[in-house]
Amino acid sequence: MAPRSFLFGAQKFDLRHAIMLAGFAVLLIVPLFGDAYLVRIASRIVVLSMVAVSLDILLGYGGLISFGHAMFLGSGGYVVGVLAFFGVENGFVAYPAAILLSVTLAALVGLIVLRTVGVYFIMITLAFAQMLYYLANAIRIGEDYGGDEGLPLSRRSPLFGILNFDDPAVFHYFALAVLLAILFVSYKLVHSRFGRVIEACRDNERRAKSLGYDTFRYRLVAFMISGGIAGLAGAMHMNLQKFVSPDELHWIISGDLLIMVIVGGANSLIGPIIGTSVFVLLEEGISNYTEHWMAIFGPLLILVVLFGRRGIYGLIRPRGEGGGEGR
Amino acid sequence: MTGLLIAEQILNGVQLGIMLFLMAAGLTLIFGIMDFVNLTHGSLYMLGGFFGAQSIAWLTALTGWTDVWPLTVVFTLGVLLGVLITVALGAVLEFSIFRRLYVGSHLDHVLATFGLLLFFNEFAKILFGSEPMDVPKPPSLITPIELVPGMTYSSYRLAITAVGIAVAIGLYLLISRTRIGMLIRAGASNREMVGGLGMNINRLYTLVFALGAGLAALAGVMTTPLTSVQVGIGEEIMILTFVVIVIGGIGSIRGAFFASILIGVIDTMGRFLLPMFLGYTAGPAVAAMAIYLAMACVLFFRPSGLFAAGRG
Repeated sequence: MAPRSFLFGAQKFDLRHAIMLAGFAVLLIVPLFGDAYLVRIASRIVVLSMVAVSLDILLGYGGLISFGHAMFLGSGGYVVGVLAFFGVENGFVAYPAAILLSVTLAALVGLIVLRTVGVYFIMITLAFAQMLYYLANAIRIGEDYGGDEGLPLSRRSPLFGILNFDDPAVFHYFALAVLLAILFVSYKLVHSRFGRVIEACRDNERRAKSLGYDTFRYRLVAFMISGGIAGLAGAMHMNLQKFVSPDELHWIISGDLLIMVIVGGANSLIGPIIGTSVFVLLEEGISNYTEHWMAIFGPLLILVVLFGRRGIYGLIRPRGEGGGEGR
Repeated sequence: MTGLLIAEQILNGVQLGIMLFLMAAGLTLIFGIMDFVNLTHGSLYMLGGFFGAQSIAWLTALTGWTDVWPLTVVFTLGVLLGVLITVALGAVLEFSIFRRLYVGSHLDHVLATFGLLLFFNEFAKILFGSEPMDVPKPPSLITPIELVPGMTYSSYRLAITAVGIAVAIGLYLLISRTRIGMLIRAGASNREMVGGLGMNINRLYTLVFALGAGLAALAGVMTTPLTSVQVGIGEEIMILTFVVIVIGGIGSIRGAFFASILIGVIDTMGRFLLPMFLGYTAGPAVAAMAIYLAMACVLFFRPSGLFAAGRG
């Protein structure tokens, strides 16, 4: 197989690259229209894409169906919120702290959930996320904050004194830059030796073990990396909304994230971004017409599972190329 | 005095545990036999509650009865009607959608049933509204009864616990003593072989699914007078049921039974005792986490549950 480099690779330019470039171009020029609503939607796509990419590392490459990824979205968000509550606003503290705590959480949770496989793994990740959901609901800070009220953020974590993040466009470009950085790191990761071992564990754990790889340890590290990226995304999400509440940790969010990855196309890193865009646009689009958008979206999802199993990215990917099925 | 309170809480815990068992028994059979991840089991619980509540309301209005025993009959009929409607729905679901999914991966199951769950939530909202729906307890079971001198307990809770235990015994007899039960057990240990021996495996699948739907609906509609039914109520109990199944071991009904009682009692006692010891800030937080911590402990030592069935 010819070596593939970031974004373009050695092959000729095809439909897939055109769609990717067009997508990024749209995300790039949205703020120029000056419509705050559009910028908000675009930023939501960018931030949720980060979580979807982190989930794809686990799901598409590691074959681990995490049904609890919302827990990291919440952990990252709550770190920013709690730090801000105690007067620490600096982004150079808040973002690394969010990553650090999420990685730690992933390590602790991973130690238990990764001992199981298959259906058990799905249900246990779900259960742990639910535990944190109840924890977030139960713990209050002071009289008025925390619990089901959530935590507000008075201003977005400043990074460099000059950048004014209260301008939605500036924050949008910052988020886009972070997403590109995450994509780059993830790309390097899944195409490294480490990434190959993770895929080997997915395809045939027994063989990987007999080759001498400590599959548990590899998976744990993958879980921690994925959790760390999702935690960073959680911190960005909190900054975008200027608010975090237990709703962030709700298990429906974990399900939504799985949908984004699968509908877009797992095992591709780009697919999840497409999936997130489609999900957010559909949500905004259908909910303009009816409050019961789930009644339309639910059956759509069943159709996708029954008839379109490779995801959107699988449809535009040239035949015979790309990794495994991601399961 | 505290002794009596604790005894009452233990009874409440057992009652919750029995309801959990009605959910878990069906779900663990569906996992064990069809190897199918079903997120709609909670929806069936919720829909069972709604159908039952609606049936009771209709029957009460239709008959116009007001006396104690006729109303109790109406209540019982309403419960049965709610269960029957849900059983039919379960069979239709299995026949029309789920059957096509068995060949797929667990991920396919999760996505498709997740979509279905979102649909059912909206469906219930459109049909029954987003306000909680109340059902009065049957009038014969309103007054608490005195179990031992000085200790009274809700007769309704006692009654549904008894019904749950009776159903559990019935389920045990069905599975261990009848031909259908033999097929179910055979299906759980090797379903290809059951099909290969000339049994109609598809009919068995539909039957197991309908049975599971009926048990979930029974739990849902019997709980309604205690908590009222509303959209989203099925998901909470479904995740609790997952915890039960994971602790008990997938595919094991015996495991599901012990784990259900365990989780029911831990959850109820945790909410009751922990705030007394840890104060009213930390107490509720730890209590909310108690069953998940119990699950983590069990899994750390027994990754496939306490009573794992033959295969992983």
